[in-house]
Amino acid sequence: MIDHSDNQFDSDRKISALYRTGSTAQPPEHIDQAIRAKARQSAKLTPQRTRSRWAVPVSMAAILVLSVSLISLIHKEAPRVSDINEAITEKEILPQSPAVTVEQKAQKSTIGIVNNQESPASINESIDMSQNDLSVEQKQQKIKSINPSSSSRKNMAPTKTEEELTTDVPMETNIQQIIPQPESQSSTHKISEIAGASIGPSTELKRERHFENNKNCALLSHNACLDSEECSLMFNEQKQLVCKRSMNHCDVGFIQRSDTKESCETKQECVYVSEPCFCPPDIFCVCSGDQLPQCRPQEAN
Amino acid sequence: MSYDNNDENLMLKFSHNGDISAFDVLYERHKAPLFRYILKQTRHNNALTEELFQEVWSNLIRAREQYQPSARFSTYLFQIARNRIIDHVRRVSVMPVSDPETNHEDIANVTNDNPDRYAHNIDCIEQLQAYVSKLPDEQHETFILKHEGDHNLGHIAEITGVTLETVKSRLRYAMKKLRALMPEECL
Repeated sequence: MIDHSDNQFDSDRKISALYRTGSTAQPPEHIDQAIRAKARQSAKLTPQRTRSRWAVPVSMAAILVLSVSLISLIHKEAPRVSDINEAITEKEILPQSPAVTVEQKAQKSTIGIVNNQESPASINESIDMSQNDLSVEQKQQKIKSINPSSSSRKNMAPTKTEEELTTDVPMETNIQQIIPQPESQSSTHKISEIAGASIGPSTELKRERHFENNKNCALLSHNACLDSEECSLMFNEQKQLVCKRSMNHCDVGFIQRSDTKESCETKQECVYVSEPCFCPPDIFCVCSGDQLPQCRPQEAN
Repeated sequence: MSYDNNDENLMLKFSHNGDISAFDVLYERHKAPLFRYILKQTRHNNALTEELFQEVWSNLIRAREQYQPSARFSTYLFQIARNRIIDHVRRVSVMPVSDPETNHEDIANVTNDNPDRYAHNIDCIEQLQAYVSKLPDEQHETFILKHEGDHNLGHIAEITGVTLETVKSRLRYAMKKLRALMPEECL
């Protein structure tokens, strides 16, 4: 059996060898050339795929460049945000004491108009009063740094200028501006303003502000003016009732409707006077007992 | 053979990059086995062999971008050749008879027609080729793929689309017949 298998194996090997010996046929040369030529022709039309090989690295590089640009842009923007935050913080710190005064005055006043939202004008005032020693340039820089922060406040467009904000603010906000400042700051400041004590570049600024304040007092009704510590109701040269900014240490803080002669004359060199107050028939009379009380400096009397 | 120069990589170089030198290497390696496979399958019809041989390579060149190196290149090439042969046979309707008994008789007739060639080695080769060509188609194809393309049984099964056991069986029957037919002087 084993011999038989071995014989078969040998026979198969011999058959295979014999077959391969006789199998030497080759394709003719002209067919070789034809096929190679066809392959060359086709290879010329083959699109080179080098592009796809570079596609991944190139796209990754592009993504990297875009990311870096974006990050650098974000970093450039970041200081602006911090500046705004800083300005907001400064704004919150600076008018702190006047804000307390505002609340106190609101309680005292019968007008009861209190608006915690500060207008740019009041911000300016706060800066000016709390930093009298600052130069004009420093003040202007401060105003510029604070004004952008108004964008963080609600209902105000961030691009508005100081002037626009002053003119755009509602009546209540303007009224709030005339609410008297603490005596320790505002009265002495006003006196020095009127007397021209302030010399140099800041005088012009203060005059402008005084004009603004007078304008704000003029916006008050006569009743509100009587209740105001910063404004005084008086007669002008044409004998017409006008509401003007309180101009001296006597009438600043003097509430015409409720304060008495004693409260006026407790201040040094102040005297209580009352003028006949005529009520025109077409308006509501604001004078009690036909008197318009004033608290004036003694020498002016 | 280095990995870079195996058939599959060469074909990828040609198909994707148009590397003509890669094609030349492939062609040199496979042209003779493929030509003989087609020649034997067409029963030594030279004109038909040349025609089919060109068609096979043309098909390979034309459809080179569809080549996927999931199979051996030689398997892929011989599958193309086999399909081309089958298409041709269907077209001309000359499918060879695959009855083993009839073929055995045909082989016997060939032997009887050439009694003077037994003594010589060349005669043995010619006799063997004659016997091989008279084998049943499946056995004939399996025998040729085994001896011309140098394919192992697994690759033959892949090319012909049958199981490995079928390939073994066909080859066993073919060898048995050839052993029986070949004269002792040749073995």
